[in-house]
Amino acid sequence: MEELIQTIVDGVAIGSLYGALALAVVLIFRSTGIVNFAQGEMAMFSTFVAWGLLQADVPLGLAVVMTLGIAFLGGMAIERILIRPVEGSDPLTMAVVTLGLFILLNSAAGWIWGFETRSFPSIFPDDSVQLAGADVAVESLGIVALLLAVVGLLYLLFQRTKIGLAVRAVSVNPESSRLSGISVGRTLMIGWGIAAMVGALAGILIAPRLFLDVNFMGGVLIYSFAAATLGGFDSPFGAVVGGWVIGVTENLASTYVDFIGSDLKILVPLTVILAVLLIRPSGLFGSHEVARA
Amino acid sequence: MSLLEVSDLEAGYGDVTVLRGVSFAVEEGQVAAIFGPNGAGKTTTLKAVSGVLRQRGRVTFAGKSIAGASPERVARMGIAHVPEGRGTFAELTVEDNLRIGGYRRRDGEGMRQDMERCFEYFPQLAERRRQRAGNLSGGEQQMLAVARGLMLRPRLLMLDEPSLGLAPVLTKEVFGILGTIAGEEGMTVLLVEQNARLALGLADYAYVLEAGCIVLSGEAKQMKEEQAVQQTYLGF
Repeated sequence: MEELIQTIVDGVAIGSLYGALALAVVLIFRSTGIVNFAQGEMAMFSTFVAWGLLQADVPLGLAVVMTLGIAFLGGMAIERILIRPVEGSDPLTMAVVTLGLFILLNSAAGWIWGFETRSFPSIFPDDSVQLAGADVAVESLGIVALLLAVVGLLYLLFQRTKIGLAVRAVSVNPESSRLSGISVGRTLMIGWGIAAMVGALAGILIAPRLFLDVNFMGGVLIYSFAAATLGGFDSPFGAVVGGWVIGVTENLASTYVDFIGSDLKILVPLTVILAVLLIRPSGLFGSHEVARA
Repeated sequence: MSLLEVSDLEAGYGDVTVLRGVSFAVEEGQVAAIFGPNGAGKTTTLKAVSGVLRQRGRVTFAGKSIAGASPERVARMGIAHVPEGRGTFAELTVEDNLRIGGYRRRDGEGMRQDMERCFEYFPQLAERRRQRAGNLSGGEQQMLAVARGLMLRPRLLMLDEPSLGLAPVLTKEVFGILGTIAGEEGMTVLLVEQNARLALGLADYAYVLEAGCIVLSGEAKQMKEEQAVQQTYLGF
């Protein structure tokens, strides 16, 4: 029983991390129709920035805040410089551009920070609390709480602020947004900035559980894509729920199904992606078009 | 001086030229209509004025040149372009659609008042204010599009075929409300319409566009009497 509770809570925690990165992927997909394969590498790069700040003796809390700010600016710069010229072109072109960005960021990080494996400190205390008779890491609970806070903040941002209204307007109908005086380019820049920031947070939270190197987000991206696919690629809510389902399933499978263990864990997200695409391509919460012509 | 002055306007899509030197003017406080057959360049004219399409020629709005300006700048200068197909934000609520219409404004209180005024003009929208705009009927979406344009508190409201795809009774309703808005608020309107009878019913001044050229212009009242117009466009 204890083992089951631990497995599930830990699954929800790691699922929250997949969900956070999936959220970043979904934010960009919704507003631009681009599947950003470089989302994981953007998060990796940001995490290295945080690591660099820590090496320069910046306190952890401040380093995290600074990194989020830098990620926001970096995301905006990526949109302006690399994405803007191909925005609105066919999906294949845009996919190739984000793959190029993937390689660019991966190589740049290796060039700047090297290819060695580093350790990254957790922002949560290394402690555990009792939950229904099981020992649960504070980190796990903290990650879940933080993800929920991020989702809440994003909801307020999109539903209650003017800039959020602009982001929603542009994602639904850019042409008509322009006619209402909304600057589409600037709005998309902000969207990329927000997504990069959410991704950076995911990277900073994941790094302590794995090791920090230039490829550490590669696997996580696959889990996040599975989460986003399961949730329905255009649903932020779906991304989070999808992340939880994937995280818990993965943990249960590797704990209780003998032949899966930790080596075949990666089968779980791939199976989910395949199953969703076969059975329900729009995912659990994805939208079917409801517009009336 | 006219509020909008367009001269020698040329525009098209890729290599295809649609407008071949179109000139017209819209006077402050009046309704101007451009009508003509399908493919004459009516929609293209509005797109060229609002900056959606690249154009050559002079476009002056309130004394300032807006030729080459981006659509968002043209909107900020006070031109609301209600596009063909209505430009509905289908997945957003009716209220959010109206908020987007007033996006460039900073007077929150004035916007709330204008929104209520739109709901007075279009009571159907008030009943569905929190519903997704994509679920509205075609007529309601047309009303929403006009209301969205009004939310900009424009100096010039440009309407692209408000009758398109509407049942005659709904068309009559929409045009009735447009007449009220133009009359009560003294709104300056540039209307593009295939249905000449509707256009002439609402307009003070009218232009006939054929194959990318203005072939006829005059007071709407006189235009109705003109034999050529009657035969070609009013079906007498």
